[in-house]
Amino acid sequence: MLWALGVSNPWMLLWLPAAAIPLIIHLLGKRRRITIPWAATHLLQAAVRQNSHRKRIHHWMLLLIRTLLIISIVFCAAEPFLESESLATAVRRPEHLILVFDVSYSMGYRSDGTLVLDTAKSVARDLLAKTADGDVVTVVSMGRYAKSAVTGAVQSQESLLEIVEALPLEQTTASLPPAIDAVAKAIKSVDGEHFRVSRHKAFFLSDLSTRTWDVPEFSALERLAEVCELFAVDVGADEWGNVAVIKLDIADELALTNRPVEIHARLKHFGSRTFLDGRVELIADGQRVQAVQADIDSEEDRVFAFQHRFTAPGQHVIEARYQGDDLDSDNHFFYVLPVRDSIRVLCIEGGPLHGGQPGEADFLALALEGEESAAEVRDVRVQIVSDGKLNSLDLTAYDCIMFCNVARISPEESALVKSFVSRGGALVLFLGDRIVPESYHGAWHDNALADEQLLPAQIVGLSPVDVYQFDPLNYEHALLEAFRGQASGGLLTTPVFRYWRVEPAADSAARMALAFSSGDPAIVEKKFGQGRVILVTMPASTASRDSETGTPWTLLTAWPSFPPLIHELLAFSIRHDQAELLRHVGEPILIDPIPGRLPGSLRVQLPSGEIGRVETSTGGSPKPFVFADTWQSGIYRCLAGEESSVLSQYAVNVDTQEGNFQRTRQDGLPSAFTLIDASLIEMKLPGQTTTRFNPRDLLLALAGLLLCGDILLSLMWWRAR
Amino acid sequence: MLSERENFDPRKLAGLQGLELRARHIVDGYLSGRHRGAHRGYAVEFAEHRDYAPGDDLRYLDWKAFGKTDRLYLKQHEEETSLYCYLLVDTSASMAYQGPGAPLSKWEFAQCLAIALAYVVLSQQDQVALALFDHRISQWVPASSHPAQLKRLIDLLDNSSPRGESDLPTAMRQFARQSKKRGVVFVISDLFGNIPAISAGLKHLRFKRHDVTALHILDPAEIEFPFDRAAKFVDLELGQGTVVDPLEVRTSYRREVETYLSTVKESLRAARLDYVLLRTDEPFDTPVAELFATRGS
Repeated sequence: MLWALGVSNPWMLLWLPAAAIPLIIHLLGKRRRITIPWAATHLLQAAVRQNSHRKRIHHWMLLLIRTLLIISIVFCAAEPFLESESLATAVRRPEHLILVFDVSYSMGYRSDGTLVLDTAKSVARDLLAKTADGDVVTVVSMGRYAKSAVTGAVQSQESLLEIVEALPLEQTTASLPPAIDAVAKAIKSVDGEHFRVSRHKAFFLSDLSTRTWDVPEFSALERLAEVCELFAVDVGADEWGNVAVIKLDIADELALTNRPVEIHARLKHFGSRTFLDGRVELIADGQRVQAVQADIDSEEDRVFAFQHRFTAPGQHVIEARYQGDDLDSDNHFFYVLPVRDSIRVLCIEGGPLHGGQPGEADFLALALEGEESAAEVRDVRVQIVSDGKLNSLDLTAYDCIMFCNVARISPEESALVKSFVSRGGALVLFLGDRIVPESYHGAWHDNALADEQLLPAQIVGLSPVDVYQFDPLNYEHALLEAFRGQASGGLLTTPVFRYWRVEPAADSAARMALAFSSGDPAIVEKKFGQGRVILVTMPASTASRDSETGTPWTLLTAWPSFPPLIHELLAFSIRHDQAELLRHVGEPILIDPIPGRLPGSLRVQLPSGEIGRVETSTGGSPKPFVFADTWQSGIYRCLAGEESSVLSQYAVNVDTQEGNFQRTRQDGLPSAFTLIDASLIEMKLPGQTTTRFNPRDLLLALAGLLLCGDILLSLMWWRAR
Repeated sequence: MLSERENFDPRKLAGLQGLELRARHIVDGYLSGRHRGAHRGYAVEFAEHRDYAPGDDLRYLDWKAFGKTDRLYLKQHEEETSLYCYLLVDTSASMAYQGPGAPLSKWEFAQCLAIALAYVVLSQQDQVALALFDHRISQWVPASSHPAQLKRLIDLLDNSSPRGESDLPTAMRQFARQSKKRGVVFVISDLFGNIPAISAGLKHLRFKRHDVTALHILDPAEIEFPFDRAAKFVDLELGQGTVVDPLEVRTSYRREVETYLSTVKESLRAARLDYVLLRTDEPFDTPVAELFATRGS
């Protein structure tokens, strides 16, 4: 049995020589004795002989007791302890060791060539090496959610080590509360299964980034601390630096083929460590198209602009990639960019076509296409058809359908248009004097739930004839962003004399983009499916007139604000919300329901190439399809059919805030945790399999006994005298 | 004017410097008549008859016996005028001891006691001799009844001091050889030594037809052991030290003293020797008077 003796307060041992005090007093006393001449020596010696034996015993016993008393008091103060591994093994009860690995992507940082996660695994191996038969081990990975990899009695060190080695790095942040819940659950499980462990110890192996650890105290943690010892093991690097690509988008609203598209990549430098030879590249559709030197000052961010020309329409994948730092996870930013060769607009003429007068749609076409020119390339191509022709057209050939003062909507047209918009098409409705509100309501409003109503608002009646101006509502809507500060644009002076009054439903997702000075909506829009509907409460022509006075409803078409307004309407209507195509790791991808498509018929291809299933979500109407397995950053492809045609693509990126792994120190940790530095864990490991025996209480008891003995002996001696 | 007994009170005698002065006070004490009983001394004693031989002194004819027996007998008397009193005084180093609170050392007390005894004897016109002894008889003043004898004894006592080891048996045997005439022997000593040997030594004197009285002088400290501080008790004769905590040994010491005194007493009485215990802090007149009274009767 190996014993190690130690003392907690070695300086107290300097008092040990005090144990000689009783002896010194005895010797000094001898020296100081007086001398008395004496005659009756034989009598004295006879008397001494009588009690000399008893006296000697008394004397030496007292000397011994007093010396031992001082020694025991000194050792009490020095607090000696005995440590023994064998003893610990002999008397040790099983323990529950919980290893919680921070698997946030910041743990992929390379410090002096070693992954921080690998350092954590090395510490875990040391901890596992100190387990004994009967111990229970739980391994938890702490990412956005916590997962227990294993909980069970230690059967084989090798199997545990394999599990630890196989723990993957996630591309998420690490969240503490779920990890605490997982630990609590593991403890409950262990206690419930009667492993009879003596204690629970949880080691959180982390780089202690503030994003994970700077959390307020919460009750679950406090409850856990009552039953489990909690240790935060710092495996992070003291000096660090990281450059992350935090954003990627295009400067223009729309990307068109054969036009240079300006792409902006924003990079941020976290931390103090500098990087030389940093480069940022633009990759389009898997091809590197441009690279530039990226020098960014510490704690600064910088935008790098690229230009690229796409030759084919469709969804293109672009990626900004940084090279030059020690953390790769946030060096990529993916973006799905819809590119069109041109914007195709179908205008449904509500008035007579070819009636010799410009029709409702002609003004729109003129505003969108401009004058006929010899230019080969046009951004916008407009086709005008009468309202009866809608059913015969393939609406998938168009990006936007504009109804120009169309009187009625047939059921077939209603379904076609609804399907068109659901699939991502844009619908713009201009309401003039011809429309029959009931027809519109019947097609796209009545008998439908709010989320299934195509119309952004209910048409309630005509406004009185008056002079109205637009109220831009502080230009808060993106549709009017271009008009901000453009007073000469004429938007605010556009004369309107009559319009349809509409009322958006209170709980609908419709938003008012432009209002009249009367407060009534002028333009209301809403998303529908993958598309968008914009309701304009006035006509796009001067053809609509008041029947009594003949006053045109609006002079909008003659006003300088008309072309830019129509262009903004078009651009806004066809612009996809990037939030749908751009997600963070761990956020589910929501796929708008596609009529005729069941979730089971859809599949999602992960960046790794694996195929995942699409589920139906529990909320919303119509219920979107959900793909939740977005734990890898990269491009996810929604596939349909046996031929696995790509319906849509989605970009999933890491939350780059995790790249700012500012570290927490002891005072920033929740108070339930004890901070341990990984380099000192061998010395300070509280879970080591040794037992420390502190005989302080015994020594104190011994000192008390000796004191009583001293008093008792002295009393006996005094009485014997 | 000294009060009663003050002449023999060691405390008062201690205040007098010099043995001569002390002797004078002792003598004054006797002369003042307070201790007449002590002066009874020894009477002349008729010893025996013997047949008259021509030339004997007719003064000693026992006419009564002639009348009864028609024979001429001569009376024979004890030679009291030739009563011999031998004072054997112990001068071993142990006699120098004077305990705390004791007015006189044992030696000084012995001096005064010897002088008192000598005076009583000399006042009876008897003869007194003085022998000083330690391991042997070191000094000797032959017996005499001359008035100057007391002065001789005083001078001898005054000019002596206790030294050397005590060997009373040897000294007694030496005295027994030396002394020609039987007499009364007062052995003035602290009797420290082997009790049986001392008793045998004193008994030897008795064999020589001496009348032996042991005057045992002890210091009060030697009886009571009043010390309370640990000390090294150094033997006056041998020089060896004994470290003692008095508080530890007092009880047993006193027991030892009791045993010792009773042993001495019994041993001497068994040898038909007289024994008187004297403390150096108590007047010695009464014990001396009682002693003489006993002798006289």
